[in-house]
Amino acid sequence: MINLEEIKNKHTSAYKVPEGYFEAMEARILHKAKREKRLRLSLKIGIVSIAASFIIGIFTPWQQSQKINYDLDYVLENASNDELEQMMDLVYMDPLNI
Amino acid sequence: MNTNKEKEILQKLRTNSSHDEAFTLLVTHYKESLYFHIRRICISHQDSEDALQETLLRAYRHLGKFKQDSNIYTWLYRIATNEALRIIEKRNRRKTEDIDKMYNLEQGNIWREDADKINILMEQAVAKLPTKQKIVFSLRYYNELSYKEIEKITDTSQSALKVSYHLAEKKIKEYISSFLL
Repeated sequence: MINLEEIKNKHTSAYKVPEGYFEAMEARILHKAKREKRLRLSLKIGIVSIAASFIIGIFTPWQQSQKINYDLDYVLENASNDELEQMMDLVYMDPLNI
Repeated sequence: MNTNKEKEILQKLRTNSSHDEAFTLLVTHYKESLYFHIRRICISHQDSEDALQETLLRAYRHLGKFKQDSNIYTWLYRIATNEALRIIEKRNRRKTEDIDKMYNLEQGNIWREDADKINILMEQAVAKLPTKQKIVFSLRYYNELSYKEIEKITDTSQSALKVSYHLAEKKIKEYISSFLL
């Protein structure tokens, strides 16, 4: 009966492999891995930039509107009666007569 | 398996900055054994090439998440086996011929010119096994993994693996004997 352990050939297989295949494959895989790493990094930077632009785009107008509200309160509190009347005239002015 | 290489790779993995070095070592050390494991399942070089490339890229993507309480090679063989199975499933959807017709195992030029006749017969016999037996036999016989390790790779109980291996061994012996006697 055949003893399989006796015919074991651990290091080489009988399958034919194109010459230089393993070296070329190793170089190709390492190159692809590096490229993938760069792509992932660019993608992360892109996502962070979009998120930052979005936050800035929302936050800045909100901050400005807060400032305008604050300034208007300050003006209204410190204005004299005449100044208040003038402001009211401006608010109720008919736009067609400006 | 070479435990020193395994230790070296794990050591490099522990420091985030040397992940790429760990991957390079992993490719250098395991490429051939992974290729032949895949080749025994897929048979064609083209399919094996695709499966190996995908295996290594998958390993690269998930290297950071690798649980260091298990062995790298069992993890790699698991990915490789799954990739090889995925490729043959895809291939079987396109083609219906059996592997003898597809690869011309008896006379085909898929064998090395300098290979021993007995080794060619051995690989032919393995190629003719059902996929499950092929995987178990390849991992146990050629890669010398324990049943416990193969259990982790294939998600199959050790007793079922032993039965598969025994059946594979019997078929291979019969196949080789039919040519030698």
